[in-house]
Amino acid sequence: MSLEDPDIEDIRLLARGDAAAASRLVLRHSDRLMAVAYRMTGTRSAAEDIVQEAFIRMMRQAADWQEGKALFSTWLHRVTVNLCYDRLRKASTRYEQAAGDDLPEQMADDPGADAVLEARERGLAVRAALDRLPERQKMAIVLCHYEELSNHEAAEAMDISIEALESLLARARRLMRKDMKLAAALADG
Amino acid sequence: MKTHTELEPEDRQLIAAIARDRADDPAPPLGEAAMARIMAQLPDAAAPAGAREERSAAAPAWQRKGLSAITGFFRPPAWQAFAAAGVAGIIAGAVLPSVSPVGEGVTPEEQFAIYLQSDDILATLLEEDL
Repeated sequence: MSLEDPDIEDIRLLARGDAAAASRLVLRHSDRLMAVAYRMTGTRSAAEDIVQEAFIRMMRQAADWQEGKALFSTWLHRVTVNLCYDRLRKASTRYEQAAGDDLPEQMADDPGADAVLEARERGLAVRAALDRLPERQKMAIVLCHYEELSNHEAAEAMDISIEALESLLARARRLMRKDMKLAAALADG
Repeated sequence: MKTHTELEPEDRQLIAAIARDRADDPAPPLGEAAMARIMAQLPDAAAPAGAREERSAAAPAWQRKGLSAITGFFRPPAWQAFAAAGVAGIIAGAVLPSVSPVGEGVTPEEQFAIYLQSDDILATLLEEDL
């Protein structure tokens, strides 16, 4: 299978030690990788560690890259996905910062504060449900619904079949809905 | 996951909630410090393949293997094993004989038997011959 990879020229240049090509690749992919790592770990520092490691691996891999086997961006996502799994297995520090932060004092009298609080509560409910998912289900939700990758792209990044991905997604959505309903019922009651 | 036509209404509500969460809490960009750390890896990490081959082909294989065996011996694990063997030798040679049970509760006959087995008998016999 031959694929037209938009990154291929920069990978060839990077393999020859071209710093500008490395910089272009990092700028082109870092936002997406940061988003995946941030949603999975919940903290900026953990996400940066993961993305940094993914790009360092990119630099090591560039010279041995086999063109046409896979898109470079897919490989980069796969590395990031695996680094996220490693990180989650080592520590559970997700969303501690978001949950522990207090609103600034000047916001107390601000008429928009209610809306901010509501948005935060709504977001925390979604994220709490997301965080309680098993890691593969969580990854499927992050890739498909947060980052809007196609099922094909997400399955490739997770190194699973599309059928397996769809099954993970269906189970994850069901669990999240149930969790959020329960949380809402507890809050009302 | 672009088409949500086959999704249940509850799933669509969940996906809408996720989209709102993403808008309320956008993922941060990669910081400049992290970017600098990545770029600092460039000279070593992305050294051209040709250069790496040249470096590894600088000495013949047998020589590289021999050198690595010698340098491997001087690495900490080898030294630790060497030191451990030395300590075990000292214990076996000096400490254990001195704490052997000979002396207490040993009959004169047993002491004589031990004496016959020791090196002292050789010295005694030599003295007698002289």
